[in-house]
Amino acid sequence: MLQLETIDPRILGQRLAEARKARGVTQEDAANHLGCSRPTYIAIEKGERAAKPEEIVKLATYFGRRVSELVRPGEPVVDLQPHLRAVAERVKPADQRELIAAIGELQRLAADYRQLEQTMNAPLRYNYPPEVNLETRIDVAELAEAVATQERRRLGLGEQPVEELRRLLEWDVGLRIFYWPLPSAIAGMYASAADIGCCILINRKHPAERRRFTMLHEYGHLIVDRYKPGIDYLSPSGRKPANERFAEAFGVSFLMPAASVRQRFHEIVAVSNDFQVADLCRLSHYYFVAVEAMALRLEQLQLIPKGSWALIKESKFAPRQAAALLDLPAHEETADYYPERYKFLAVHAFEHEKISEEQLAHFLRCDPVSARGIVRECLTGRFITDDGRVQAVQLEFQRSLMGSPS
Amino acid sequence: MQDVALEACCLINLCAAGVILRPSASSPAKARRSTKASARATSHPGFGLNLHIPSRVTAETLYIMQPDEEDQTKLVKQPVDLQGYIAAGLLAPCDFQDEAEIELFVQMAAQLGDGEAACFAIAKQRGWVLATDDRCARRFAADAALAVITTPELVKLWAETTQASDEEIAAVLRNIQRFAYFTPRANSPEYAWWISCLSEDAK
Repeated sequence: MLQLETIDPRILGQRLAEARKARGVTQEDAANHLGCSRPTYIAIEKGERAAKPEEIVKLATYFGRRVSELVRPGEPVVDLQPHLRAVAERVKPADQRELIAAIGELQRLAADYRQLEQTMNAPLRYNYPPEVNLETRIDVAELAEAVATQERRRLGLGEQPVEELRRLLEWDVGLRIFYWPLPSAIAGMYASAADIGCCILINRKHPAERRRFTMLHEYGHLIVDRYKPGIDYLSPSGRKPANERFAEAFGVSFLMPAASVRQRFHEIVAVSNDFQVADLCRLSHYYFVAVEAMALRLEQLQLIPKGSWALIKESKFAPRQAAALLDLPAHEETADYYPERYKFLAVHAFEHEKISEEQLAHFLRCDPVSARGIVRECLTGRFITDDGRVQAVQLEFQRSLMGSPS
Repeated sequence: MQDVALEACCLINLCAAGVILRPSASSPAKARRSTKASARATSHPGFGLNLHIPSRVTAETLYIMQPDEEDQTKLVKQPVDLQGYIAAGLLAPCDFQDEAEIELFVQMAAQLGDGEAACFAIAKQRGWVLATDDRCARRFAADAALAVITTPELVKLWAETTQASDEEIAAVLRNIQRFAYFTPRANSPEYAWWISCLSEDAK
C-alpha cells in the first residue's frame, strides 16, 4: 500500500514565499496568475489555506521552480537572501540579474545541502574560530596577521602552504563553500544563519588563485562579521572599512605566512645572491597565489622595494606564460559547484536508495548521465598491484566493516 | 499494445542503445547510429509497446555520451534529440489529463523528481506500465501495485521481438554501458543475463 506523507501547508507556504521573492514577483502578481484574490494568495503563503495541487503546479512554473523543490519534506532553511538582495539592488543594472540569480542559487544550494544532511543523518560539524571585535584605533593589518597565525595553529597547519584550501575549510572548519558564476567584478558573498551555519559563494569565473583568496576573505568575515551577510567586490571603491581591511589582510597572512615567506625568500637569496622575477613566479606557485599577490606581500614584508609589482606590470608581464616557460605544473583544484562533502552525501544517499536518480542529478546540478558518471567516479577506488599496475576497483559503500572479516 | 510511461533513466539508456529507438530522418542524431540491426529495429518501432514520455521529462535536456568527432577514443556529451524520436512516432508525448493525475503527481514529487513523479502518476492513474530502473521509484511502484519494466527487460523484449542475434544484443548492452553509464546492479535479477550476454559475445 502506497503511504504518502501529507504536504504541510505552512512549510509549502514558506517555500512559495521564498521562491516568489527570489523571482521578484509580488503577491498581487502571483494571485493574478492563480486567478484568485490577493488575500487568498496571502493565506496560501501563510499556510492558512492549503494550496490545491494544480495551484502548486501553476506556481512552481511561474516561479521557475520544480514542484519537487516546493513540496519536499522538512523545514525550509532560513531565508539568507533579504540582505544580500538589498545589496544586489545597488549594483549596476547590467550585473543585477546575474547576481540576484546567484543569490537565489546560494539559498537553494544551502537548502539542498541541509536536506542531504538530514536524509543521511549526517549534520555538519562546525569548528568555527572565535569571533574578533574590531575596536577603534586598532592596527587592523597587525591584528589580522596575528589572527591568521593563531588560526593556522588551531588547524594544525604550521607554516606550510595550504594546497587544498577549499577541502580544509569545508572539512576542518565546517564552512559551506559553493562556486557559482557571478558578475566579474564580484569576488564572492557571505551569509550565515543559525540553522545552516556559514555559507560562502565564490565567483566560479575567477581563476583558482583568486578563488582561494576570496574564500579566505569571506572566512575573515566569519571572524569579524559573523552575522552580517555581505557581497564582496574585487576592488571596492573608496577607503575600505575596517572589517574589509581585516578580511583582506587575514587572507594575505593566511595564504602567505610572514615567517614562512621570509624564510623562503632568504633561502633563495642565499643561494643565488639575487631575487628575480622567475623566483617570484616560483614562490607564487609554491604558495598557490597570484604573482601579483606574492609580489605585494614581499613588498609589504619589505623584502623587495615598494613599487616592484607596478614595474613588473608595466613591462606587460604575463603570469600564465611565465608559469608555462618555467614549467610550473598546474595545481589541482576542483571547481565543483558544491563542497566535496555535499557530493559524497548525495552519492551516498543515492546508493542507499534514499534519493532517486533525478533527485541525484538535481542535487549535483547536472543531467542524469553526468550524475551516473559522478557516482561511478566516487565509487571507484584505485590501487597499485604488486607488479605496479594501477587497478580500478568498484567500492561497495554499503558493506559493513564492523563485523568479522571473511 | 501495452502503454508504457518512460522515465528519463530508461529513456537515455534506450537512446544510447543505438538501434532500439531510431530517430526520424531529420534528426542529426541519425548519422551517429548505424549498425547491422538498425533496419530491423525500424521495422518494429517501439518493439510492441507504446512508449509515452510526459512533458515533465521532455522539458529537461537529456544527454548521452558519444564518441568525439575529432578523437573517437574520447566520449563527449551530446543532447538527446527527443523531438526527432517523437516526430518519428517512436515516442508519444503525454501530459496530465485530470485532477487525480495532478494530485498524485504533486504527492509523488515530495518523494521523487518531477519527471519521475509525472511518469508515476500517469502510469498509475491510467493503468500503464512504468519504465524505470530507479530503485526508489520501483519501491514506490511496488507499494502502489504499479507494474514496472526495467531497461534490461526492455532490451530483452526488443531482442525477442526483433529476433536479434547474440552479437546485436551484446552491441546494444555495450552501447548502454558505454554511452549511458548504465549496468544493472549486481543484486538485480537481470544482472546475470546482462553479464552472460556480454561474456558470450567476448568468446
